[in-house]
Amino acid sequence: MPREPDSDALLVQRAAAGDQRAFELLVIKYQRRVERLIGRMVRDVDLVEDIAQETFIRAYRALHQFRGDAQFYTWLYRIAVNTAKKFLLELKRDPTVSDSALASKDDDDETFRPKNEPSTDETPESVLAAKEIGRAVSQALSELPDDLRQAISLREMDGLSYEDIAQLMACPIGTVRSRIFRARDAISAKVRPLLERQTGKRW
Amino acid sequence: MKQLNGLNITETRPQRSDQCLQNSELVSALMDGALDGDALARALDVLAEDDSADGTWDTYHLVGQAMRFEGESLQAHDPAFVSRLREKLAKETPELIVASPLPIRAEGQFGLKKSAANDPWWRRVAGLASVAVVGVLAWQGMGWMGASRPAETTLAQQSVASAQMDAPQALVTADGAASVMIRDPQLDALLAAHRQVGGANALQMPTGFLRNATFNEDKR
Repeated sequence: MPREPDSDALLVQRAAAGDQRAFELLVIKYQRRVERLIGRMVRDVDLVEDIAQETFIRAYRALHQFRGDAQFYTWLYRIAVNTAKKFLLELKRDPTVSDSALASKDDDDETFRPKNEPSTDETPESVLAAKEIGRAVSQALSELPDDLRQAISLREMDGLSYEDIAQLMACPIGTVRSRIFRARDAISAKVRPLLERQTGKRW
Repeated sequence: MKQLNGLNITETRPQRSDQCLQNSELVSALMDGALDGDALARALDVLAEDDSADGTWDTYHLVGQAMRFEGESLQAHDPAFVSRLREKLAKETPELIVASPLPIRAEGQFGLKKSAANDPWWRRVAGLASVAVVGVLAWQGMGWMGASRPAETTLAQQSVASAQMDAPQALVTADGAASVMIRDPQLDALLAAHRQVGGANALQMPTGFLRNATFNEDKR
């Protein structure tokens, strides 16, 4: 599996030194992935978001403990799992939370399941949207000029560094950086309308 | 229709300013880990002022995910989630660390692998080395203590015996410090040629006490 290109280590370093903006970029990058992870442990959608918030707050507090021996997401993953487990334990111990409070509104339905039962995060709509985005990306990639397509593919799919790509393509690093940016931007332009339809937000 | 190195850009982003494009290029370089130090700090400052930077950062990552077919659902981040978290983080006082000049090692960072001097592995090595040194010194110290007592006894006995026989010899035996002879080839050749002057043992390493020196002095 190709290595995911990222700048997590640099952003963590900045965030640990007090740069909250750097941490927010990490939150934007991993919010959905953390929520999907928690969603596999906790059914309540509201609770998923609360646990995700708590996960990021705990991670922020503990940033100085991140030594970079593992990838940032691996570290964040452990925090998310532990936070979710703690929430579930507290929920079970809380005497003010009755079974009826934990149950969903349509608990008369024979398909009723307790709120805290693990569930899948995938819905037909999300699967369809992901396929649609995937097709748009492939289409945009195929329409790119060869040099841009090669540069972005070497970076995103093969995980090569700018230096390696510059060697392979026999061009300066600045050119590699520019080609990758232009490729990303051109593909994003095709994807953005689909994302706007998903979230109802215009970037 | 404007062409930029073969890429038609007017159709895809007709209303974007140069500043916006520059910021987007910064985002692209940032997500590839191509910025560090001052460049990284400047980029974060610039992007903090750009409302569209979060969306660009998110979309570029989604494009990467889609290209790698990671089998995950592709969904943009929720700006409201980040806003709520921002408010909570504002109340937090994170334990700050001094920014190290060495970047934090991570597998995803271009294979960069630098180990600091205070790396746990080096700490363990240093600890073991110091224990070994202390052990060797202790062992040698015990050896010296055990060996020096009989030698002192012998030396004292010899001194007493010598003092009874010959007073000048006792004075010389007081110098019991071991020494290393510094060899001079020319001097050695000269002494070998004039053995009757220097004595038979002139070319030998000196012993712990110079009994021959006083003995030869009397012969002269």
